[in-house]
Amino acid sequence: MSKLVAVYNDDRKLMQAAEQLKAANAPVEEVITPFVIEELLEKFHVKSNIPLLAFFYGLFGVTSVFAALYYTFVISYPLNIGGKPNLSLTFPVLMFVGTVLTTVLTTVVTFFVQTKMYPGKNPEFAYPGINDDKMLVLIDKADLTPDVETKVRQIFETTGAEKIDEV
Amino acid sequence: MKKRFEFSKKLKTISFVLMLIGLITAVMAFAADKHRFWTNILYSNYMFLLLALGAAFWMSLQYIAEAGWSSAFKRVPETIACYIAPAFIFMLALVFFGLKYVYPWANPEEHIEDFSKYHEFKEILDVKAPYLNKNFFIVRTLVFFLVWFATVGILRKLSKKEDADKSGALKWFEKSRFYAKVYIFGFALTFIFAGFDYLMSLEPYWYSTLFSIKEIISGFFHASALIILIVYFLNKKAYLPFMNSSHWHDFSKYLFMGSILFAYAWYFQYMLIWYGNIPEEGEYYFLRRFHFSQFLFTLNIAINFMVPFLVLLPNKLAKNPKVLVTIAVILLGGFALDVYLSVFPPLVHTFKGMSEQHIHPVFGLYEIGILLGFIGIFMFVFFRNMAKRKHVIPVNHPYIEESLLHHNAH
Repeated sequence: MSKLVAVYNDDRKLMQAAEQLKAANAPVEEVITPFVIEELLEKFHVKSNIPLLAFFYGLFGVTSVFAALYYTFVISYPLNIGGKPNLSLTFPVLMFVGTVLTTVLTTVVTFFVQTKMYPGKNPEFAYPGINDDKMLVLIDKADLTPDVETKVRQIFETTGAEKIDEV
Repeated sequence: MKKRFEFSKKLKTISFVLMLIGLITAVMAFAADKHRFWTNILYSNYMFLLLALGAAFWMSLQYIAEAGWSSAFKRVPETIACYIAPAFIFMLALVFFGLKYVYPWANPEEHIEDFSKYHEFKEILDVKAPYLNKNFFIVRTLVFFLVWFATVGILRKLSKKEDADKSGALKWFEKSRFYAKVYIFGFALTFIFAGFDYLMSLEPYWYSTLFSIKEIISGFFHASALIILIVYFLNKKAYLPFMNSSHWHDFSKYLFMGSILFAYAWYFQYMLIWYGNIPEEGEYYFLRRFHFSQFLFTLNIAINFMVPFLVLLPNKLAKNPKVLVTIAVILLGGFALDVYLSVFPPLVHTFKGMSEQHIHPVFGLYEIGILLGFIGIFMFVFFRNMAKRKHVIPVNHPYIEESLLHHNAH
């Protein structure tokens, strides 16, 4: 599987290229950047459902931590602590902390599942500078017809790509 | 776009009418019941003082964080902070003429009806006398206002110099950043004691070291609501035409964060006192919940926490300026309620026609009238100082372009 790779070192140049590629209907497979370029996501309508999922994880966290606390402190092992009621005002502290923990862990797991990542996985794609300050545009050559390819290469050249490469 | 704010005739009339209403009701209240009159002066004045200081804190936060998005309307918090001047006058009046009507430690005989309680009360007061006495109270008030005048004054002066300096204003911005730190430090240090003095000493037998922290958080939170309200007004009047959904979204983040912070502060004080279960400490909440009003007590946390938290949770509502401004107005009501629950419960029994055995919430003509009067004063001070500045939108601020073109992706 061979890929066409354009390397950029400036996000403004990358944005220009992205706009022109979109206008030319080029089959861009992936864009790899060292930081989040929100305009890029917005322009290409890449929407993540993680915020919504995180909200439901939060709800799940609140109810489950409350249920666990209720079970232990009220049903299973009610203790008289200084005459305070078993269902007490101290619950919110643990509920707050437990909710944050549940949400964070489940969100991370969701992220790994959605991106098909796991610790120790071999990289699907590697290129010098990919973990540095370089921004990469990847296009699968199988998707490209010759005349589209010349056009794409031309776009890369005119927008100031540092390097155009094939892997 | 770079125009001066015009204090229109309509606004002037509104603020003068409000002030007139305030003056008339204040005179009526003074004639009818001096306790109630001074309680109301403390209540309304403290509220706007805290909003002014909270707004200055908000502005300082933007400086030290080097926030760009807010620089185009930094005039708004800067001008809200001008209310410190009238607040000083009213506090001085209260300190010199009204002290014995409001603060039980200044006049224990009149505040305690029950003779058996009186001796116990007097004992506590004698122990606290080195701190809670009239002379030291006056000195502290002067020190507080001196610090606030100086620190806020420097920030305002630097902002004016920045506007006048055409050569590139980074120098003034750097200075403002430094003095913003000075303000935050001075404000935190002085307001801890100001909170103890103005509100907590209404119940001299009670103390909580967390009290002023909660007040500072509340001031910051509700000042953001006031800033949103005024920015919305200026936007409607076309002084801030650049506002887009990203600005509103960032504002709503302040309210959202503030609501959680407020609930946190409210809860840590309440929970610790509830759990500690010490009669001297519990008295504060016992008075408010069981003697004064369970309903208002619950409503306070519902308005100030649940409403902004639940309404501003969905992304679409958080970006909608109309929803946001409605929440801001509700929150200002919530602030009035929060301060009301601090000031009134220990004092209502001294009002005419009330006794210590049966206290209940009092909110009548005098309260509303005097509050309206203070709103009028605040409006007048705000708009007059706004009109004094050459431009509503700062001209030489280094981040002004960023603010005008502010854009968030989501």
